[in-house]
Amino acid sequence: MKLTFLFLVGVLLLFSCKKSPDFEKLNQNLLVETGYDTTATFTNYKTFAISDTINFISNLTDQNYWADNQSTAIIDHIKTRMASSHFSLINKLDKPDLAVNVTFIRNIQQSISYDPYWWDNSYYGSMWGYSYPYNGYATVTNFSNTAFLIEIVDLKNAQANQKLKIIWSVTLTGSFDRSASDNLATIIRAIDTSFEQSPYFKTN
Amino acid sequence: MKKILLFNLLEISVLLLLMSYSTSVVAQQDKKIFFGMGYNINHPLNNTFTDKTGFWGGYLDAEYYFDKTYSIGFNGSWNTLLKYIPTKTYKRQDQPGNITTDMYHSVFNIPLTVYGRYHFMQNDRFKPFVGLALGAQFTDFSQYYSLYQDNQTSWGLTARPEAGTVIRLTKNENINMILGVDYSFSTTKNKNLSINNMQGLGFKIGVQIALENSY
Repeated sequence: MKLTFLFLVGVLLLFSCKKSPDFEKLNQNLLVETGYDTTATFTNYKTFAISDTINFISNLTDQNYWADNQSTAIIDHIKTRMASSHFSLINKLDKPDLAVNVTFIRNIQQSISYDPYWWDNSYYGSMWGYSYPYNGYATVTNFSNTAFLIEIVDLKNAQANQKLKIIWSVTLTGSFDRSASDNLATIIRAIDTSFEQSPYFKTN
Repeated sequence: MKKILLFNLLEISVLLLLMSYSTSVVAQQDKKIFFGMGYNINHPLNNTFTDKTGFWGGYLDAEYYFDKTYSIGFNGSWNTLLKYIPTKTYKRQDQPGNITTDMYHSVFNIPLTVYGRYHFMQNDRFKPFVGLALGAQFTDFSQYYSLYQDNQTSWGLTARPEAGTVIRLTKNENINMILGVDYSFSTTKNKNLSINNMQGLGFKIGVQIALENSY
């Protein structure tokens, strides 16, 4: 019995001893994904328009836009990067070739799990001195489903295409659970990365 | 941190050796079954996915002595190999575009083996041995990036020749120390990573506790 117990403890230990990586380190930067429409010729587009606010999609609030100093800083940075790629900012009423659509998605989902614990009940006698679970506690875990999106929409050919085609897209995912200033710095850094990893996205 | 840990282990090893020499021992193999546990280090030999030494490992085993020379046992061990890959841009597989991220590569091995040992020499203090362990190995290959994890698992066969020594720490041999080195080969594989087998060099340090008197 003693050997069996030791063996079972051993097997449990074996499968619970995986060393985790340094997640804090991994969360310092956002994952930057970019994609593009291979049929698009980016040099055919010259002008763009962008909203002063960021679309906000969340199950936490009914508010559907994000407008504060941070969102303004982000939009200003996108304007700067677009200008660096030689696109000209114009008013949306002046028929821009491209629309820059910026969206922040932040959904929180909850998971509730019940974890029974083992009560030392050797008085009543039981296997290995422990009884069946008699009590426990519920754990509520929050999962954050968060993403920051930049979509470049082709307005120039919308009529001909009969649809709004996204010709370049950026998806930033990762941890947005830091301080406001850290989040802003991380997003700005990731926007820079998205332009740097897409050298084709420019015009003359 | 790793260096400090290693240094401490070496210090403990030397201390235990010195302690054991300070006691008068007339050693005889008079115990039949031992339970053992300890710490192990593994250095991968044949993959670039995780080519860094893994300092996060351990083992549990049970050993049965037929006599003073021959023993068999069951060993379960684990070791994690971790390698940090700095931020890099990759081509997307699903559509035209790129992904930029830093990541960790991780290989988690659990060999479960049966072993035989030949204790070719006996003296008051040391009981050196050579042995061979054979069994199955579970390997988890993982890539961690941002909040995500991709992983693939594999089961395979494993063979592990080993050499080491048992060091008697007490007169009645209730507690022994064990030091050993081994070479491991397993058939666990990952086609996506072009890994056809896993090979490594291992070092272990641990203790054995006698569970039964038999002689």
